[in-house]
Amino acid sequence: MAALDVGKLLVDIENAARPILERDLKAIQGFSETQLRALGQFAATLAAGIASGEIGKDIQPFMLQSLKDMTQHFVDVLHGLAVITIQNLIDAIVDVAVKAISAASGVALKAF
Amino acid sequence: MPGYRAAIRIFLIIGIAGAGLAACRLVPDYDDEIVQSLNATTEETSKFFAKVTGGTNPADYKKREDTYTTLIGKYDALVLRLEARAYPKPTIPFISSRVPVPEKAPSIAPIRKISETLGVMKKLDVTRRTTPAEVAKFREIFETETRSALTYENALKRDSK
Repeated sequence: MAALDVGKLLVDIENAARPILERDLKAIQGFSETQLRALGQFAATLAAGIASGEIGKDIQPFMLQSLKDMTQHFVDVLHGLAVITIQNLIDAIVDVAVKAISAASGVALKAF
Repeated sequence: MPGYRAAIRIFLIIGIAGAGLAACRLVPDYDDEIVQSLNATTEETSKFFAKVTGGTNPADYKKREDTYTTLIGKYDALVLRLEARAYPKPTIPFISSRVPVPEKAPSIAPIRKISETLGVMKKLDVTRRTTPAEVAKFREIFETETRSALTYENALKRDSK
């Protein structure tokens, strides 16, 4: 049985995790900026529409509730995206570790 | 043979941790049919909003009735499909206690909200004129919620094997 090079394994894990973190965090940042801008715009034009009478009284409660709902959904999706990133990291790290064990033990293992 | 024992121990630790983590799924699988369907319905809804951008009048509501019904039906069907998709429950206490996984896909609520919004708009369209500002607000809800749902569903694609 060949020795498992723990130092190399750690470097390989880091190399597998880094691009996932960079890619996913960039995507999360882009989504956050777009949605925050949209929510801000919604609030601003809603206030203007209510003040000018262009948004009817009968529809105002629905619009205000919608602002709350959209904000909640935005936060829930952010949470979901973070969990997807964690899953991607788990998959990548396990893949690297299993390959290292396979190489060292000479037994072909499959993680998934 | 302390070196041999240490190697065995490392193998066991990595193997057990790896097997445990590999068995633990935190997110549902990407479903291309759902995303295609959502994209198609989004396009239809965008076209509808483009037609009513100047506001609506109950006098010609009948012209729009079918579109409302069709779109609401499509969004409701999407909600059902998303709810029917297998959603993982983490089985490893170490992971589930440290990674609070959403109870259901966070793309479901935004799509349900779009259906609700079209329903409210439909009801308003029957009863009175809607202003361009009101239509713009309905459209913004549709766009914001679509972005939320699509961003989550598309992010799952990167994870699927």
